[in-house]
Amino acid sequence: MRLTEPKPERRRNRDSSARVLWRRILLTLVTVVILGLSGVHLFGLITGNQTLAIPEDTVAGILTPVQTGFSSIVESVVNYLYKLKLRANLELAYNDLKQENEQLVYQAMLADELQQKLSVYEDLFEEISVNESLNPLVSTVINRDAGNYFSVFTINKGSNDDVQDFMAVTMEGALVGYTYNTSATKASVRTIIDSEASIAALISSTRDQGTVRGTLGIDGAAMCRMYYLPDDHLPRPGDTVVTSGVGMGFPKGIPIGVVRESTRGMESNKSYIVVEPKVDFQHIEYVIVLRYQPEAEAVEARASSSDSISFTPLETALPIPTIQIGSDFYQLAPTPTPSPTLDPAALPSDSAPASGSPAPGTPLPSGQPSYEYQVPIGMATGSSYGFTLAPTATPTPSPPPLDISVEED
Amino acid sequence: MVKKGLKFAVLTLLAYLLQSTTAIYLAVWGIAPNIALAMVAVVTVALGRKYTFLMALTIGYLLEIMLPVLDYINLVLYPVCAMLGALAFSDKGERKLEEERSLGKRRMGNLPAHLRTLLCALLSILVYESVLLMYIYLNGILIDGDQLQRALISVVYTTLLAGALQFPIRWWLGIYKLKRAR
Repeated sequence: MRLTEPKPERRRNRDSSARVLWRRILLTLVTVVILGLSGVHLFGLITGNQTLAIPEDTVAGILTPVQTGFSSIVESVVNYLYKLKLRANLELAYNDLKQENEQLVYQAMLADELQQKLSVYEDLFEEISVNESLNPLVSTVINRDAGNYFSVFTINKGSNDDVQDFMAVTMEGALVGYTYNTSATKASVRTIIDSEASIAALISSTRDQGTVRGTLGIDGAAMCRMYYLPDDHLPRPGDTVVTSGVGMGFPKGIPIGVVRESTRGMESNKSYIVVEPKVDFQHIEYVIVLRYQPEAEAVEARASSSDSISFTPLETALPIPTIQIGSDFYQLAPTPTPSPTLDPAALPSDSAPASGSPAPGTPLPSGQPSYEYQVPIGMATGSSYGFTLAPTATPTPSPPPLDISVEED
Repeated sequence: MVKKGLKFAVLTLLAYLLQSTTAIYLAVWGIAPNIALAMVAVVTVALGRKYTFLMALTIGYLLEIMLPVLDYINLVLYPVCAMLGALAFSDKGERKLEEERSLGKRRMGNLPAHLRTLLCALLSILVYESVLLMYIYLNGILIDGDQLQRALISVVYTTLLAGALQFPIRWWLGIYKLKRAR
């Protein structure tokens, strides 16, 4: 018995074989065409015959628009992706720049702070350098009174550093106050604007002396008032007020402030002038304590002068009175000569006259320490203290005009 | 049959276009991958040697006439590299596989298709880069570490690209729909 395939199965196999055959033919044909084109191209390259470039140009002519379109699509996709990347990077870059900006701002603030500190240190150094004879000591403010009526603060130096009560405290070439309540490791400083502070001062231009007191407890203003000035002189606004060196052991010549208001002569009930302090009391970080000892210097000066001057009593024709007390006789000492004549030969040739004191501001001989406060050059102009009134002409105090009106009956 | 032929033609054209227009944008450390050889490697494992040869020849020809970098080099090198890979890693028919099984041969053709695609791309691009290095060496340029590094990056990049491209291409060609031979 012969097995026969069913008819649809046979047809399917026949179709499949035909399909495979056609596929092979087509594949072979395409391969041959490509090989032919390649061969023509190679032959054209070898021989240099332009006619053989015709198929190549034809293929290139067909392919060029396709490639142009595809290339433009790729370009747009790439541009779109690039924009996306750029957008993502922009946010990232923005955050980075923001962070960097914050860091730079912080660094700039730090630099400003350091510059400010350096400036303060330079001022302190200069002030210490020019006033080395006053034994200055730099101190740091460690505590401040936050009250509205008193202005005191504490410094980190005390008796261990030879700080004593009532020593002058300066800053930026001007008087801040004086020490009190000194302990071993700290001292309190009462500023000149405190109502409790009272400092002997003088007007630098007229040499009129008075007393400066603070007004913080009176009207809440960080100012000073100067009392007990002579009635016949009227300071000018802008005149500098300095310490007079009288009273407390302050060096002479420390600037306190400038005359702000001088209407004493115009208002009969006003017994003071207003002085604006030079120091900025809101920003005190470092101060200088002038550990000045006036007594010791005065004793030394007297001892040195006694070596060269000797007292020689002169013969006198006056009888010396003798007093008898009981059985004892006492002879009174002769009357001292009012003006003893000194032997010029006994005086050293290069010594200064012993009588009188040098005028204020007169430079002392070299080698001799100066005990008058020297204002540093950079601070003498007062430019760093803000507003300063220019000196004006001295107002002449004039009596109030007489009332000559006649009352009518 | 027509559908497969069309897909193959589109794939060939796409390989050429991607190589000539897109590869430059995919450069890593300044090294562009060879997309055409990567796609040829995928076709080698998926469709066999005949399609490989036709595709490589077509791409080589199109690159030769459109981007003539060196005379003959693309026209010759693409088919040669592709056929070397195909010789070792192309898909084999059931008859051939059965014959090898009966003879007890265990060759690389029996490895998984996805792995063979990677190896085929590796072999093809390795030959391609080696020929180019030899070409420039014969032109009097000393081969140094920098050029070897560039060649190495190109080889690795193209191999990895073939590994990534094989999945969409095989899916598009319908390879995953075929019934697995018993």
